[in-house]
Order: sequence, then C-alpha cells, then structure tokens
Amino acid sequence: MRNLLTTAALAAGFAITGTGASFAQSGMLEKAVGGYTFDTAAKENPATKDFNSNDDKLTFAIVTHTAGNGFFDPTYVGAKVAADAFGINLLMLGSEAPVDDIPREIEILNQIIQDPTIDGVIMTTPQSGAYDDIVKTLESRGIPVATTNSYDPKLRNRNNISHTGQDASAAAIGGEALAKCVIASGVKGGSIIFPSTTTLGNVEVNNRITAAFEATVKTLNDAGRLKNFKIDAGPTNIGIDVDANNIVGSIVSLIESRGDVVGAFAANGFVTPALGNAIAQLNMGEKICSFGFDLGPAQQEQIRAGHLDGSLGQQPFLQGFWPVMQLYLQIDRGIAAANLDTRAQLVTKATVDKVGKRYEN
Amino acid sequence: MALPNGRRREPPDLFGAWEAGLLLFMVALYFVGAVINPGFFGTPDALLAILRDAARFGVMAVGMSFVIVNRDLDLSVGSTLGLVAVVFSIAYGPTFYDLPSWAGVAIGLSLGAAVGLVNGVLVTKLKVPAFIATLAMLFIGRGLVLGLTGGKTIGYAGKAQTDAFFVLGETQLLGINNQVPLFLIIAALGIYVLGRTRWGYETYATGGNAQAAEYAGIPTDRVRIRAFVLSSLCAAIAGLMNVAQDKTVTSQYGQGSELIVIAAVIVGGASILGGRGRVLGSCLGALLVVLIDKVLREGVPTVRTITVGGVEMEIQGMAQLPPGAVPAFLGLILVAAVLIEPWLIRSGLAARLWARLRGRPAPKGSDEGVAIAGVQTRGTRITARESTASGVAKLLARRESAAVILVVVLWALGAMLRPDFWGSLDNSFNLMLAFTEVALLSIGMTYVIANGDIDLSVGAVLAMSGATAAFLMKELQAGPMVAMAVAFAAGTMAGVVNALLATKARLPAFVATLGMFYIARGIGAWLVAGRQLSGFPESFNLLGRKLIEILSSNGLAPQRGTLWYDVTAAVSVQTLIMATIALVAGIVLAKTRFGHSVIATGGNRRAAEYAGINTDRVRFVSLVFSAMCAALAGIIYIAYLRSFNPSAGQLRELDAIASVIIGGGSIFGGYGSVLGSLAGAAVITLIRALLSLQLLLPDGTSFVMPQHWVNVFIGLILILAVLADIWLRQEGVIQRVRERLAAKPQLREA
Repeated sequence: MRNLLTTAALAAGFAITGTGASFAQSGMLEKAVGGYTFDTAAKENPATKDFNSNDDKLTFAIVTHTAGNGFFDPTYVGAKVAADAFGINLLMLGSEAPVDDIPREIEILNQIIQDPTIDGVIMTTPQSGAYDDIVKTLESRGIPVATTNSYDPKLRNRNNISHTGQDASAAAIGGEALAKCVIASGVKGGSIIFPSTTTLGNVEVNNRITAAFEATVKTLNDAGRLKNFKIDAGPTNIGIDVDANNIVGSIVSLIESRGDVVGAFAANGFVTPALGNAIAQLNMGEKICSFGFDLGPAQQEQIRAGHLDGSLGQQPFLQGFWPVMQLYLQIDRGIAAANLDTRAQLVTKATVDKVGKRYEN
Repeated sequence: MALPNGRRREPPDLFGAWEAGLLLFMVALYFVGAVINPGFFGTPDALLAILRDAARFGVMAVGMSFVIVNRDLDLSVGSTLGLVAVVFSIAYGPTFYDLPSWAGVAIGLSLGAAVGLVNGVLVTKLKVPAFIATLAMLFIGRGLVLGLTGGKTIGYAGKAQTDAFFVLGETQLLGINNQVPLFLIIAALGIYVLGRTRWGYETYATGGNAQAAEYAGIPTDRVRIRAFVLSSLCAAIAGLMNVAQDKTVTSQYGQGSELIVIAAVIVGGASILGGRGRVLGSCLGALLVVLIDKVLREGVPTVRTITVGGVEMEIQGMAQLPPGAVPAFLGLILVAAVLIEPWLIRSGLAARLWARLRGRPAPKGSDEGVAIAGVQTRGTRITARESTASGVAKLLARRESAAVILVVVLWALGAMLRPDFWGSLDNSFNLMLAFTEVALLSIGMTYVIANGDIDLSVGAVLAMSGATAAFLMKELQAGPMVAMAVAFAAGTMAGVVNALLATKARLPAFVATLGMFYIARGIGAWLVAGRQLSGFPESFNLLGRKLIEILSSNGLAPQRGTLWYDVTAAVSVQTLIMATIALVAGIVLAKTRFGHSVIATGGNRRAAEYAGINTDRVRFVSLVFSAMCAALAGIIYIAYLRSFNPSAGQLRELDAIASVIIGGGSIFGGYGSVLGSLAGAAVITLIRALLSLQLLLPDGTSFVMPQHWVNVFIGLILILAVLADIWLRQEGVIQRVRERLAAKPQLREA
C-alpha cells in the first residue's frame, strides 16, 4: 500500500511537474516579456494597419530603376511573398525602360509620395544624391523608407534607413574564381577581359568591375602568374565599353579581335547573359573561363550548358522580401532600421540545380 | 534601248564613284586596323567578322534604300526587328506556344509585311508624314516588345539545338556565318531590283519628282507602300537572323538600330531628299559603320601600375579610346562622309585643283547643295480657317486645341480616379516638375520644326552640357557660375555646328543633327569616362530644388501656414525657369516679326526669301535656340539629380518631337506653337503619370495599370492626333459629310 501510495504520489507529482513545468515556464516568460504570453506578444499591433493613411491596411510601394529587363522580377516576387504574408497591399513599379532610367524612376517616386494611401516606400538608389529630396519628403510625412539593391552611401539620413543588398566588393568572389579557373585551365598566358556598358554610368556596376578586376590581379599575383596575362578592365578599371544596344555582338568582336582571350567577367544581369551568348556563338566554352554577376534564368541555362563557368547570385528575392519585412517591423514594432547583406552566392555547374527553383532568381 | 551613238541607255548605275570612294575609305580604315592589331585585321577572320556583324544592318539598309530613294523615311525598322524577334520567340518558345520554327518564321514575316503595309497606308492614303507615321510605329513597336515580354528574356537554346532554322545563325566551314550569304543574296536582289527593274525606275521617279512620276502614269502611292513593305520585311528578316544567332530575345532587341541603318544608307550616298541612292552604296555604308566601330574599339598593348590592397603591381593591359569616343567619331565620320559630296564632288574641287595646277581657268562648280528645298506652301489653309472662324469654333480651329483638350481630359481622368490627391497643390506642381525637362526641349524643338527642320540631337546635347558642368565642378573644381556658363556655351556651340551644317553646308537638318546625336553623346560619356559624377556645391543644386529652399537660403522663407508658403514649397525652380522661357518663346513665335519669319520660312522658304526674310539666319537662330534649351535642360538635370549620369537625356529627342507634333506642329514646317508643344509634353507626362497611378477598387484592393504598355499609348495618341489634325481639321471630313448630307434633300427637291 505504501509502495502503491509512493508510486501514486510520484506519478501524480510527475504529472503535476510535467504540466506544471509548462505553466512554470509560461510564468517565467510572462515576466520576461512584461506579463504577456508569446501569443499575445506575437500579435500585430491593432494600430498598425491604420498607420499613416488610417485606412485599415498597409500599402507599400517598391520602385526600381528598371522594370524592363526582368532582373527585378524575383525582387518583386520576394516583396509580394512578404506582403502577402502580412496582409500588406503592395505596388510594384519601376521605369518601363529596358535599361536604367533613373529620371523616370524618380518621376514615379515623386508621384507615389503624393499618394496619401502609401505607408512605406522601398526604392533602389543607383544615382548618388538623386534621392535625397524624396527621402526628405517621406520623412516629413512620417513614412518609412528602405533601400534595396543599389546602395547610395551619401543618401540623406542613411544611418536610419535600412538597406538590403550586397556590397559591390562581393564581385571580388567572381574575380578570384575567374583567376583560379584560368590558372587551373593550364593556359600559359592570354587576355582576361571585363566588358561592361560603362556609358550607362551605373556606379554599382562600375564598382563591381573594379572589385572583380582587383581580385583577379591579386590572385594571379599571389600565384606568381600575373606577368603571363593581359588584364583589361578599360582605362579606368570600370570595364571595357561595349555597345548597350548590341552587347552580344560587341563581346563577340572583343573576343575575336583580342584573339587570345582566356577569361572574362561581366558585372550585371544585363551583360552576363550576353557574355554567355557570345561564348556560345563562338563555341569557346572550353577555352574561356567566364564568370558573371546576377543569376537570372538565362544565366542558369548558360551555366548548365557550359557557356558560363559561374555567376554570382545577389539573391534578388531577398532584396524584395526583406525590405517589406523591415518596413512592416518598423511600423508594427518600432524595430530600428537594419541592413541585410544578401552576399553573393557563386553558382557553378556543380550547384546550379540547387537554385532558382521557385522564381527566386 | 540603244542611243543614237550606239551606247546602251543604262538605268541608274549599280556602282559609281561614290561606292568607289567608300571602298577606298574602307580599305584605308582597314589598313589602320591592321597596323593597330595585325593579329586580327591581318587575317581573313576580321573580314568575315565585319561581314557577319554588318549582315543584319545590311539587310535593313536594303529595304531602307527603297524608302529613302522614294523621299520617305522609316524610323520603325529597329522596333519592327525587335517586335518580330519577340513574336517569333513567343510562338516558338517551349514555355509559350511551342510552335515549329517554320510557323514562327511565317508569323514573323507576315507581321513584318503588315507593319510595312500600315506604314505605307498611313503615309499615302491617310497623308501622314512618313517621319510621324514611322515614329509612332517606333513607339508602338517598342511598347509592344516590352508589353509582350514583360521585360523578360525569352530563351529556347535547348529546343533550338536540333532545329534546322537555327543553322542560319551558325558559323560554318571557312568561318563564314550563314547570315552572310543571306545578306549577300538579299543585297544582290536589292541591287538588281532597284537598279535594273521597273520597280527601281518607279522608285527613282517617285522620289525624284512625285508629280512628274504621276503624270508619267506611275502609281506613286503603290510604289511608296511597296517600299515600306520591303523595308519592314527586311527588318523582319533581320529580326529572324538575330534570334537564329542568339536563340533568345530580350526587350532591348533592335533598339537604336533605325538611326544606324539610316546613317548607313546616307553614308552610302543616298539623299535624304529622295531620288538618289543605290543599294550597293547602302550595303557598303552598313559595312563601313561596323568597320568604324571595330577599328575604334581596338587597343594597343600597354603596361600599367596599379595598387591593390596596398601592394603595387605592374599589369599588362590595353590602351584604348575611352567610353564615348566610338559614337563621337562615328558621328564625325557620318557628317564628313555626307559633306564629301557638296564640298568635293559637286563643287568640282579636284577638277579645279587640277586646272589650277596646269595654270588653266578653274571650271565653275555647281553651287547647289545637298538640300533641295521643296517649294510648297504649308500651314496656310488652317491659318485661314483660324482667322475666319469665331467664338468656340475659332478656338477649336487652332491646331493646338486637340492637345489642350486631351490634357484636360487626361487630367480629369486622373482627378476622377484619385480625387483624394490628384488635384492637390503638391501633386499639380509635381506633375509640372515631371514634364519640365521634355517641355524645355520641346520649346526649342517647336522653332526648329516650325522652320521645316528637325533636331535629333537635343537629348545628346543635354547629356553633353550636363557632363561639361559636372566635369568642371568635380574634376577641375570650377565654381558653379563658371561651370554653368561653359556648359551652356558648349551646348550652344553644338547648336551652332548644327546650324552651320544645315545652312552653310546645306545638309538636311536631319543628317546634321543625326551626326551631332552621336558626337554630343559620345563627348558627354568621354568627359566623365563613363562614370557618375556627384557632390556638387549645394548652391548649384538649388537650381533643381523647390523655390522655398532658395528663399530660405537667402533668409526670405515665408511664414508657415500661408498660401505663399504652400506655393513656394510646391513649385520647383526649374519649373519657373521653363515657364519663363516658354512665355518669352511663345510671345516671340506668335507675336513678333522674327516669329512670323520662322513660320514663313517653314511654310514656303522661297516665298519667304522673296519677301526679304533671311531664311538661313532664321533657321540658324532656331537650331541654336533648340540647342540652348537642351543645354539648359542638361544643367538643370545635374542640379535636380545632384549628379550626372552618362545616360542622361536618352531618347528624350523622340519625346520632344512627339510633344511638338501632338501639340499641332507640322513636321513639314509652317506651323507650330509653344502652347501646343507644352500641351503635347503634358499629354506624354500625364499618360505616364496615369500608368503609374494606384487605382483604388471598391473592395478595398488596388492595382496599377500595366506600365510596360506606356509607349503603345504614346504612339497611338501621336498617330491619332496627327490623323485627327489632317482629316478632321485640315480636310474637314465631318464638314464635308455634313455638306453632302445637306445637299441631298436639296437635289431631291430640285
């Protein structure tokens, strides 16, 4: 009987302790979060949906400097995923031009900031100084802003504005991979070229070329092979200018006229597929190490087919997803502006099948 | 047919001195290339590469030759190329309709022919000037390319691997790309048809003197439609060649190629004024444009020292021309090539030199320039109706009334869709700000077009002036005033060069400003070496800010809560500058002797000269004024954006021309008003604003209209504005129908 009582007491105690543990834990956390449960703490602030426009919904706009060449499509997808998850009304806008059209982007932004239903703005900032007035107006109206993709270090109130994107220096990963590929190919010498549409003046792209160029030079120098190669990134290290209206043809001409090209690097989603196309047309996938920046469907196909050795994905999906989240958190919880480095993911033939499965590239 | 002396009467020659000169020039240029890079230009590879790269331009130049010889112009070939490439890709792409390639080819060619037919009918039957009809088609085509692709790349490399059609883009034995034989076949056909067949005679006759050709029984309308169809078909073939080579399509396809093709045909010896040109010359022109590009992009080996991570290293590289140099030289060569004829051939320079060397009297050269102004009075009928009408009819009779009405309708549409903010002071001035740049360009363009000229260089001059000011402030640490003065002077000089070429060298303004289009944009990019420049003094940036900022910086800020405060906080300085210039330019054009001289010069240049007007001076001033407006727009651009980007002003020339035409300006000259052009610019701005406007639905959701189609709307409005002007106002179709209906009962009674 005693044993029975002891067992019953232990069983009851265990049971009580078991369930009691959760109560105890809950109680502890209640104290930790100021007397609320997780469920309560996780709930949206009832005032959030009435932020700014007082219309029972949040409306964000994402505006990019081009919506005409497909690069920002995964960014819009990412933004929409986040917006849908939190019941946010999202406007996806951008210059309709197939190339960068910054004045048009600013025209759209200027209209968007007049719209009283807008509660948050996400924008790309590829031209330094051009977006300050927009930030000033948004600040004066109490509307939070986040930047994505291209980074303007001198943007007004930069320290309080979240940025999502990768540093241009991430392109160094591609430059290093290019040099290693060239060395591994066993060639004794030749030209390594960095074609770019320099006349479009995209500062981010220019910086990527410089970073990749310097990384290639450094890697070859470290390997004691620098003197064997001609490395050409144009007169100011921002790329050899190619015709923006005929990039494939320009790169083909460049490779043909140099005659000894063993490596090439392109710095954005505009020139990289053209580099792959040029190599495919010349049937020189085996002879030229080629790397690029950005990882659209065209680049993925080219990597699979061997027309590109690799490309750096800057995770455009995240560049849409995170700023929407960030703005939501700023409005809902007063979370301070945080930056997200989307880094650069080098994708090669070995890894290409692991990416781009659900519109994220 | 044999002549009395036994010689055979030849149709227009297949080959002449012009082509021989071009060939010599190309050989010399090729030699320069061989000296710079013997490893490439010293081998047949270079020749084959030039042929391959020129193949598509060459094919388009064949079709364009027919159009230009006809005295027309086709600005739509680039967008037709892009559109056909996109439609083929949608038909063929496995992720779209997955049709066989032959079906894609058939659809593409049919589309090409249809575009040409529409162009031809618009120009001949509906009397729309070729420049406007094909400019509208350019907008529509580019809009469709973006709308259909959604800006995405469409690829089908996998499916294309086993498809015989794509052999067309492959390089076969001996290194010859299959596009080259196709180009040669089409060129040979073109040479034969234009040079040796009835179609050719009819084309030359129509372009030389359409009225005489009609008296001779030539169906000139049919001839012109045929040329447009041929041109568009050639563009369609070029589009198919492009996809055959790339096995993919992007929304960028064909962009800018219309100007390259026109440049090739003009360099090839065709006259923009019709009646002269040969297909062989055009094809050589295409080859020359490609050769220039290849030679100018060459480099010479060099050794540079760079520092990476604090370590100094020597690297071998290539020294080459900086970004922008290629288009700058291309423009110079284009102008130089066109000047060869008046300065060397027509003036008989060689014969006179030879005579002088022999001590004989020099033969007199022909003093007739390239431009032969047509004698036709334009714009009078509408002016007459305007002066005889009264009340509302008088207002409606004005050519700019349609654009003004359209502005009101579009604005009202915006106010209806978003009454909560569309009409606010801030948004109204924001819309004004959005249209300032195009409006400023269109003010100068109004004068040029009223004169019967055209200025294709305004966007490029904008970029060059902006680059000059930015370069001076950033690289040479010049003060804002000096930078602005020099930038303005640089833009003005571009206008002076345009004007000298048009009035003294007698080049058509289209050709002179096409040359400047390349030169100015090239110099702009060259100055900044392809980089963005920013960080100008804030005192300079005030030029692009709200009025209140200037007032505040001078201690004159109005008190908050007053109307004056709200207005100064909403209005931009650049809008005020534009408004001031518009006011002065509008009054000068409409109310002063000089303004009347501009209209008279464009209406009938010869009559204006008989009336004592110095038409050259009037045209000179107008072209310089246009460049001044562009220069000012460039300076404002960098102040507004606090930085300079080499892509500044791209395609703004098309917006400015479209603004003037939508605003009632006549592309033939003889009419134009600043108010109309401003209304035209406002129409374009409002369309863009409406397409990025958030529309709120009753269920609480919202959406934005599809922006990719914006150019389709602009193109359609452009063509509708011109059709309405021609048929409703000038031809008075409604009035005629009303008169006819009124006459019928009277006849019955009689």
